[in-house]
Amino acid sequence: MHSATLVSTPLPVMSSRRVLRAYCNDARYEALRMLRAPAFAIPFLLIPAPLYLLFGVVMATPSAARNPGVYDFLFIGFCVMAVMGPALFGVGSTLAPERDAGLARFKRALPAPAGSYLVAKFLMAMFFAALAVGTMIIAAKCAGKISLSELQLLVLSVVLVLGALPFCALGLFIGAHFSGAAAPGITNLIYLPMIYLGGLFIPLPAFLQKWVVIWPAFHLQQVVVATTGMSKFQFLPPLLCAAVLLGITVLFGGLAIRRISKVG
Amino acid sequence: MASQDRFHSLDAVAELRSVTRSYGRITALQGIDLELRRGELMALLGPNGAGKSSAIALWLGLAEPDSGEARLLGGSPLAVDRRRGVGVMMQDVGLVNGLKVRELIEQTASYYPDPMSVDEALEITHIKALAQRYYDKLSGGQKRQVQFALAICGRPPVLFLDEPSVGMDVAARAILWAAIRRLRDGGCSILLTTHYLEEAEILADRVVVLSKGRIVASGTVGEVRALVSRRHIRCDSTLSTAELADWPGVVCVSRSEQRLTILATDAEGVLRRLLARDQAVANIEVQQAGLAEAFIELTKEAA
Repeated sequence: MHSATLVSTPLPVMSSRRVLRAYCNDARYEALRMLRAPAFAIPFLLIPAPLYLLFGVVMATPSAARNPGVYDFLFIGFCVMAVMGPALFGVGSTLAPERDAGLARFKRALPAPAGSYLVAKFLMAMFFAALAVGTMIIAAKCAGKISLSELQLLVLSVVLVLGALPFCALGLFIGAHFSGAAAPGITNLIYLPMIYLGGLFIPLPAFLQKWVVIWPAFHLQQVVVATTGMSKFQFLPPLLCAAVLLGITVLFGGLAIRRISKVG
Repeated sequence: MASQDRFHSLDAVAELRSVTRSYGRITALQGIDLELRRGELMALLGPNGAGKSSAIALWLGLAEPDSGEARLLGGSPLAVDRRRGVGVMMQDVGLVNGLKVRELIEQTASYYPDPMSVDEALEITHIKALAQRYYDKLSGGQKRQVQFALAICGRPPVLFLDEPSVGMDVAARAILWAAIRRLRDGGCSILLTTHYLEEAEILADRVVVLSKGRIVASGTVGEVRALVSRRHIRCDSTLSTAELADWPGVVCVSRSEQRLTILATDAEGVLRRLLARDQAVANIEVQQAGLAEAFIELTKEAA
């Protein structure tokens, strides 16, 4: 090979097609490597559906006999839980150790398209959210307890996948501010209480019910509930909840991006 | 200083102009002027904390100068289109886990407008055998080889190689050096930092020595070496090392059986005295001190 071919001169312009390809490559490889990580893929892809079948179907039967909408409500609650996990942990708990290792700094030094490193993490989390919701729908159809139509399930899936974004932003915020050792613990401090205190499936005592609004999971649940028309489980206007979720995404995502662009 | 750095903006692909950069109370760079000229291989030398990595960080847009200006390919290093002309090998970088070497190269190559194929990058860096291996399962030296492949896969006209051969075995280092030479012959401008002075001596067109954020020497390897007037005298003699150590102009002296090695600042004076003192002295060799001695002397003077 001639040595002259090793160097490009003068500097060629990057076509928009190649820029788009770079974004796609980053997202593809981020998803691929997470699929190859059993410690991530198994809990977030294979656990939600069995949990739903146990708590949302088998153990919910007495309650559903008195209240027919409970099966659908619990299905939505477990779906919200299924998208929260990959978004919070897939972004925050991977970003923090990569920052520790200098990878975020290295990515800044490379001519990667603006934000592609973070966009890839968001798209990976949404991909996992879609797979997790898919497993939930399959489990629910097999159990035969939900009354949602195919169209409702499709709309619900789209909303849930988009609904992963505020949790991605929270994960990003944690990953940008904490070390690799601390990030999983901090994420659990938010994730575990949010599952229970967000009112996703367990009836809360009265004094906790008014605090349910502080948890993004509750707002996502309310938006999803609106797509199914179950008015008796609609406690807040869905547009307000969507606005809250958008605000969380912008606020935490913005703060995290600001920090990463300053300190890597 | 052998030759004061002057700016030839048309020929410079990376420039620092009167740059000062501090980190808290530590001043990493103190008003330095430094340029990487088109087509040259410049070695940036200095002890730990001299400011080498800080200079590279400024050129890569990872930090901004407190005062002065950093330019890359005629513009701001913060602009992504400038960085598309740069390949980089940084120190202490952990790449993502769970990806194979081939995939990492393909991913990095996709950031550049006109990259080489993955196979070409693997071939140039002699790591075809690692292509299907997971990066996180490789040894330290193999990881550095892969990082070198990532640095060159975009066919960048400018390369920043920060301690590229750390952890590599002798064979891998020879392959790296050969590849670096080919890149330079192909017109690539290369900035190399290294602790292996032999590496700079073999590869560099120009050497810049930094100490405490200042340039203490700049020039060709020969010019920098000549800044320090030390020479090695080797001979067979029965004179004691204790006696020789007391002579004026002798920096240090060692013996291996009959063979004496004297490091002298005044080689002529020491030789005259040696010949007068020992009639039986034989096999005399006089050699200019290497870059290593010059480097140690220059950075010691600056400290």
